[in-house]
Amino acid sequence: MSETTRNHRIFAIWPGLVGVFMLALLLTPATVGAEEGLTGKVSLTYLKNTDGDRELRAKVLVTRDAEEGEFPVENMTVQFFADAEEISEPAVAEAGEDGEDAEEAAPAEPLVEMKPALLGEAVTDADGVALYVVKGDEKIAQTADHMVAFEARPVFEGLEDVKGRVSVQEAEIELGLDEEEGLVMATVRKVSGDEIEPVAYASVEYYVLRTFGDIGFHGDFTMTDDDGLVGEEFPDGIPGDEAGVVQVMVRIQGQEQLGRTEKLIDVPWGIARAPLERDRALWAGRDSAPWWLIWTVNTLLVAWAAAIVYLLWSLVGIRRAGGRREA
Amino acid sequence: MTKPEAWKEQVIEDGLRSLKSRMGPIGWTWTLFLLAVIAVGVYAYIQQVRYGLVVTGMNDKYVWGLYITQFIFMVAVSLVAVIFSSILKLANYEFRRPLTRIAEFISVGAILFAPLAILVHTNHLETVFPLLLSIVGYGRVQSPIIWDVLVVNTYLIVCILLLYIPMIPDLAYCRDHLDGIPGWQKKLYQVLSLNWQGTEEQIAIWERARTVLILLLIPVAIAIRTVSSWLFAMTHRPGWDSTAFGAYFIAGAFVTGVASVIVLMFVLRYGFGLKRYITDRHFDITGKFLVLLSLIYLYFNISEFLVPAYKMGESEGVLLQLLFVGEFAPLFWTGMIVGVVVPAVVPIFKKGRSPGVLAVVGVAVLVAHWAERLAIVIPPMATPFSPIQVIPAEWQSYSATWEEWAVAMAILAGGLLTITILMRIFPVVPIYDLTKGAYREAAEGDGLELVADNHVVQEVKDV
Repeated sequence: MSETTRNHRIFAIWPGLVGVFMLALLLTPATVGAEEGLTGKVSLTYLKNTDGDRELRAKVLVTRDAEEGEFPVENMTVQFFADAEEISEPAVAEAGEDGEDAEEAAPAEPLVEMKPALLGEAVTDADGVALYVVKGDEKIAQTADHMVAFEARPVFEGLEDVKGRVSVQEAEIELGLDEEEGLVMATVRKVSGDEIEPVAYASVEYYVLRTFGDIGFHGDFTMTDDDGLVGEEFPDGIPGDEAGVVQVMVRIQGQEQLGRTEKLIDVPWGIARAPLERDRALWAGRDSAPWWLIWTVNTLLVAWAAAIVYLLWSLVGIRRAGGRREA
Repeated sequence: MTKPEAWKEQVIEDGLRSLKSRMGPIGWTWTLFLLAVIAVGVYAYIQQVRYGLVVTGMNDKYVWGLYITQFIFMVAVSLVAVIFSSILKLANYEFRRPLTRIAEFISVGAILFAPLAILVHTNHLETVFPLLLSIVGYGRVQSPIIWDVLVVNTYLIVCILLLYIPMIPDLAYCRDHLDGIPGWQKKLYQVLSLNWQGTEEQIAIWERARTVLILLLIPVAIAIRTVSSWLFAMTHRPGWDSTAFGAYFIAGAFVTGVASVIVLMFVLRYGFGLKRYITDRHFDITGKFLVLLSLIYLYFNISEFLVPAYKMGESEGVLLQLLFVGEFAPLFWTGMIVGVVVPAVVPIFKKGRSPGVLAVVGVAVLVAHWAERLAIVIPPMATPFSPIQVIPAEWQSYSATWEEWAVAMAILAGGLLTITILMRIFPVVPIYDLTKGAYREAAEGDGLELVADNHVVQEVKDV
């Protein structure tokens, strides 16, 4: 066989090898779920936000036998369910041996069971979290003890039996301001069937919203009274916007049964700040950096870069001068 | 052979001796020790990448720890070149000549590895290049972090050029005088010496480049240290909220840098047999210089702590309590007494400037300055101006984990290994420079009066 022919054959193999490689790449993600020893868990949390919508967050973490630790999986589909009433037909009573007419027997009650009904799907992000929002006006069935239950199940090969559940009693927060006392008033109620009842002795947390985290100003024992009412004094000296408005978030969380709920209110008792001159300010965004700073930084950089280029050019000069001497 | 020619031959012989000889058992032990420290650090870093920054002692409250401490310490050490290669040269202090290469080795070793301390803090090193690219598109010119990235990279380039450009004639000596060395080493000298023949034209270009370089070094070095201090001072925290932080950092860096040079002077004098060039007089002058720099640093420390202590503002007061008598007192007082008072007092006495004592002081200063940097970084995070709420009890204090220690020490070991390698590949004394200036005049024996370093010249004559 000539050298040329052998080379041609080698070239002919390349497309095949590339094809195999591409196929392996395509198959790689799909094989994750098929691994043996793959287990997982779903942590499902519930939050009724300030708009009254229920935010269901499912964090899915998988564990592989071959590796230590838990890992999030991105782009995994998660199905969200809510328990709903399912009515099944009763079994038809058989006619008695004594010839009793079936029509004369007492009619059987239909069976009512709470079973998960699909709400919808969401996809996990890089942290393995899938968010599904159930609108506030969407009716969710309650159990006999007035609880609502949600469930999340990942749609992933090998994790068919994995699911997370959360069961809460839905609550509502109503906010108001007591101008005379300087109090932010909150009324906490729970939804029991078609009724709304006040919640007594619920811990309520008050936060001023800030860019990098909320600042709490509630006491250790800020609790509702028998009417579900609580008031917290708004602290002095909190900077607000140009009108002195501060956003205050009131939360109930970590209660035994009540679902995590929050409500936002604008409180006009903060310190009004002077209008910010955002144009060309040190604290402005990148596009509005001060001219003097842009010029200073760039002038310094250009000067330093020019000096470095000069030094490098000098090295070329030294080499050339040495070359001429050698020649 | 004339006296200057004999002196030149002697300098070439001594300067190249360490490059001809094989590394001894102490050298190998030292190198293997550094490699072992680096290996442990790499393993710890792999653990950090695998499990995330949760393996460190840092948390939402203590967002900075050993890594940032290591960064500012190594940047401080790297500033030494500006003293010996730039300021003392511009001031015509001839005694600096044998010490410049040492300072440049230290600067390059330190500044090569200092940024790594920041990069490991970002955890995933593979994101560094896209991160640096993103500065062009998204960098906010108002951010001190952007200034720091720009100035650290500029200083790194300048330090490498500072080591390389003055060394070109010495590399030609290596090329022409070293035989029996590996081929790659010979090739390295051939390439790096840039056809150096010592022609008038080459010397003229070279001298101009050196002048530009030493003038460039001063603003860049001051900028890197100032901007590093502004990473702290621009943050709204007690202890860092100071207008003099830049000058304070520069003063501290000069003490750290000179201490590191003293230690390496001692190693080279006794380990490399360079008594002829690193004399008792060099230790004497450097010791006095250390006293001067330490006193300046002491002044800045008094200013930094007396002013807030006089007012005892709410958060500042808590911080000062923590530093003076509280949790961080051992760290703080170690830094103050060993790192500031000892170098300001011990070398005042003649015996304190002897090589052995001064080397011990140098090592103590380096350790104490490391502790002092830790006392600058950590305590202010315990006392923020803005309250941090609802954090777990275990986040109320900072305790570095073994992974953090291993990675931080590996970065330091990387710098030390770089210096060790440079010392084995390149001449540790500037051969060309030692045949010029006062050293040449001394060798000629013309008895020229020199104000600053007459004794150095006298000593050279005696040799």
